[in-house]
Amino acid sequence: MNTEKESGAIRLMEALNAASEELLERSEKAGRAESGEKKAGIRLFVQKYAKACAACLCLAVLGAAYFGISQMRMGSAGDANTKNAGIEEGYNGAAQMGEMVQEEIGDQEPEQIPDQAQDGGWWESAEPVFAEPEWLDIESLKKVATAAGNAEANGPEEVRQEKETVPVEGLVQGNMSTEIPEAGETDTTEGRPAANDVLTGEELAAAVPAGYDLISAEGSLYYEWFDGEHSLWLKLTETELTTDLRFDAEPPVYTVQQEWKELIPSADGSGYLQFALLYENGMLAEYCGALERDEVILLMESLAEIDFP
Amino acid sequence: MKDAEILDLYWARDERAIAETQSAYGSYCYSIAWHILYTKEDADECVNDTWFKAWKAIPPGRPSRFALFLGTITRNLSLDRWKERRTMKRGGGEMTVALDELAECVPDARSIEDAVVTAELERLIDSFLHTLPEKDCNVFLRRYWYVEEYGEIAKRYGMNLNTVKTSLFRTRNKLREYLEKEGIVL
Repeated sequence: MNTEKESGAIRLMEALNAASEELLERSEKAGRAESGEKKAGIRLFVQKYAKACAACLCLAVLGAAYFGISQMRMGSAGDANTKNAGIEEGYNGAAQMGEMVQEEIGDQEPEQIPDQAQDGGWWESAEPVFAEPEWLDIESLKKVATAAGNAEANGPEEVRQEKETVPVEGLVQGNMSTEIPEAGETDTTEGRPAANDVLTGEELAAAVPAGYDLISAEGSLYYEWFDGEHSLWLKLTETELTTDLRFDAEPPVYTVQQEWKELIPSADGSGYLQFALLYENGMLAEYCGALERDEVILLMESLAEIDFP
Repeated sequence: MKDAEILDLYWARDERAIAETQSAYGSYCYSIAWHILYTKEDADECVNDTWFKAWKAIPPGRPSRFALFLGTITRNLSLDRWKERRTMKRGGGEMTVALDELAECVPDARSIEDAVVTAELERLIDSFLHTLPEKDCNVFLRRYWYVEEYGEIAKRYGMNLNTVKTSLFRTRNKLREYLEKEGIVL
């Protein structure tokens, strides 16, 4: 940050001293009130709908019991399996009725359910905000790594049962951590972040499509951009995995040796796509975003051109 | 002890006022100082200086919102201390990150001269805050007045971490546009 910008930022920080006291008090009280309101809201929700659920479930159980009994009477001369199937069918029917009741309550318009009862704060953002993706567990990834030859010969289903699993202990050593380290922290174990004095948001920004602004960069291995509507995440991890491996993982993990451009899956219903790509130098780049397919390919190709240490 | 009773002690020049203030607001003021300075010694010093300044200010003052009165003193002292340290070495902690973020709100300008009277800037900032939705305003103040971390803000309001970041990103953009529209040069 240049000196002028820093001075300006400090002036803004100091000017905030003049923030109205009622606004500051409100920010203090809002947190306490919401916590109390949420607990009360959950209590109200349970009180409001518990009776309805209990009544529906009772009816469902009675119906299932009646159905089961009638089935038993009809099949009294038959075999036990038929009776059991009838009872099981009745049970399944009751369970389904219960699920339908639950779904119906869950499908109610949000206005009908007290705000405070909601978990996750659906009401808090008027615009769609994708929740931060779940990142890969490198330790687990090691376990699903197989030699490329076996994977390609046998296909994805067989890979899981393939006995010729590459002994990953020989490939990867140490304890990989997927915890995002503090900025500036260096980790000498496997799965350590890229050198955080080399990679900056600006270097990667050149590879990101226009319109995206960098809003977070932690330790030079985790980046988050936002274009006003969609988020874009990149997580880079230095590993000792090699591109001759294949991975049966979710979200999918490809290597640059594969036809990864053809293999990239389609976006899910939310418009977001998540996958990881392993480069020749062992860098694992995890992507999650709403870019067009061509943009994704360009971005991942650009990462390959960045000189990771 | 209630605020009114503590203030009565100040007015009576009873030194128990300091002890009572420390008891009631010590952790509150320390939290503000800590978030800015990130070192225990400096934070402790600022908090102690806060009691001294309060003692000097009351009387004749009798703040209606005693907590905010003390918090503002602590914040100012902490900001001054932070600026002193900055000239010696770069400090770390949340303050540096928060300043980096606020720098985005500084309109681009060739001149860095003091073209804006401080009081006018303060008025504009307060006016801007009143234009914000309550939630966005709360999040903004927790971040840049109290210098709280994202996680603390998210936990306080039961919000998703990403929602906090997005709210702050949008608010900073709005602030920059607001300052540019007002012709502010910082």
